Amino acid sequence: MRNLFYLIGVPGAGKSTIFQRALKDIPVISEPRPFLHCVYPGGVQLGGLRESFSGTDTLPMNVQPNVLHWLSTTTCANIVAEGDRLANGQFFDAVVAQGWRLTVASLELPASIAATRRESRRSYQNPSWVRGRGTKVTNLVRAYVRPEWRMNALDPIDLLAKRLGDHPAFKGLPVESRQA
Amino acid sequence: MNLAKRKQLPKPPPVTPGWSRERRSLVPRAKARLSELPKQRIRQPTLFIVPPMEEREVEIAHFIGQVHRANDLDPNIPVVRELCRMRGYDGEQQRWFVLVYAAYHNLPSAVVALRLLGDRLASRGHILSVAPQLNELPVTVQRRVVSGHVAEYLAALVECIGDPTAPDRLQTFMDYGWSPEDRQRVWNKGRSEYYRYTLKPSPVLAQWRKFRRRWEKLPGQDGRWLTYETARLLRYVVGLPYKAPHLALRTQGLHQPAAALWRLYGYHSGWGTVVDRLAEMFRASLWRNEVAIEDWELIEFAIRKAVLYIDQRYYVGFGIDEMLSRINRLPELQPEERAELLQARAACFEPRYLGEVNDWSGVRRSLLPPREDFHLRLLRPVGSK
Repeated sequence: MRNLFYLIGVPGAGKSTIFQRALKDIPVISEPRPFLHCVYPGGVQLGGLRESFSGTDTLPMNVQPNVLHWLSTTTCANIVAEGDRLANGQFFDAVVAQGWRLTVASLELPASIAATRRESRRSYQNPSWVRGRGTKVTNLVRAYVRPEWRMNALDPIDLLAKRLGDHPAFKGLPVESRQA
Repeated sequence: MNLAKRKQLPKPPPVTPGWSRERRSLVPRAKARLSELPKQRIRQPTLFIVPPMEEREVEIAHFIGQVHRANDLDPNIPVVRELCRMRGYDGEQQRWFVLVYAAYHNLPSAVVALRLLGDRLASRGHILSVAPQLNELPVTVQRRVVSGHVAEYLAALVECIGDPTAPDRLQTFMDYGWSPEDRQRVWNKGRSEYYRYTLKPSPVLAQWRKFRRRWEKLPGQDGRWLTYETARLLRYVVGLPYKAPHLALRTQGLHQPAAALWRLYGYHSGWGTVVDRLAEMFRASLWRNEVAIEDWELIEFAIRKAVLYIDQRYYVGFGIDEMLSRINRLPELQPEERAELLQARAACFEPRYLGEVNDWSGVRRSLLPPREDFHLRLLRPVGSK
């Protein structure tokens, strides 16, 4: 079964931070084609890695058709992603139609704390745009997120990372650094 | 001179830097010849060959996964480790075994040589006293440079190492320059560390370079291959943290993997950085297809095996069978040594890959397609005497 895990949340919820923690000890290779993605043993993370606005935020706005085409042809069995770029109902429906086992998780926290976090990383986004993201996430949570995957962003980061790491899409294969 | 006059002057011919006057004069002639050709012929596209890695990525990755699971990527390493375990070797003895094995790169020969030399670092005089027997033992094609004078090579190596009677002499020699922090950093390597030492020089990379330079200066080293091989053996058998951060093709460290990558990706480039990138793409393609080989030491083997697979010159268990044929073809091997080797093989490989269990004595030609130059292509010279 092919697994696709997608993490959504309002800007400043800590999606990228938790992803980085979950994939901390796993080596990755950055591949630029057909779109930027990171390969780790046994799986692929959509988008690139950077300090801020990581994940699918590194992809261009028109990337969705390319990603869907690639997902329909790839032999990789585990895909993980986070961020706003591909988080929409059309993408999720297309992924399910292709036969992927989709898991959408959401990170939830009060709006005031998210605003403080955004300020601390100096991302002064348009307030109306941020409100729009909040509405979008709320709608997606209603439609796609199962109750067990609604996570509180204020929980300890290691706990959240472990929760993600337990998902089959993250497990991949253990790195065999030595011959048996 | 006014502007109007300057415009009337003929323009000087374009000068291509580095080209002689005679060669420049050929350019217009060649252009004229091209213009005489029919246009359709000029526009005809060149032959397009799909590189194997684009067309057969899944198939190749599946094959490499099978080879890896069968312990066939480098079958000698687990057997050397198992022999060390069976004989109860300590660190010094393990290091000495690794050096002797690396000299021959032929496991049965190394076992016989170890019987002649003793299982601890031998003195120069002792090595030269048994030189005729040592020099008669076969080496593999990779060590053809020392074929016929392995004893002299080992004697020179021991001279570099120093006093063999000093305690932990080999350990002191091999661990030179490594701080405990460096060791820890290598073992606890995470993603950030990976980026650090792939993008810019770091203590780990500096230590690797130091190790490489030190070993390349030893006598009888055929290029950088043996340095990599020794580092690989020290890592897998003894557990020393000599870990190559990449294939080092950007410093032209190894030629064979580069040639194999050119073949796989259909892109011939002498620029080491490009070939390193191809190696990384190869590793990523394995990871995408659930073959989780992280180490560059094994990736190097995997690249070569992929090319052999495309040429239909390899099957899963080929290396294991090749080892068996070497064991069977060495008359100097005593029965108890042969039994020990077979016991170590039984501990390392699944029974279905063992010829001694399933009644075959070497490479199984029946598993490979027949070809006219079969005997030339398939069999590597086991004894290069």
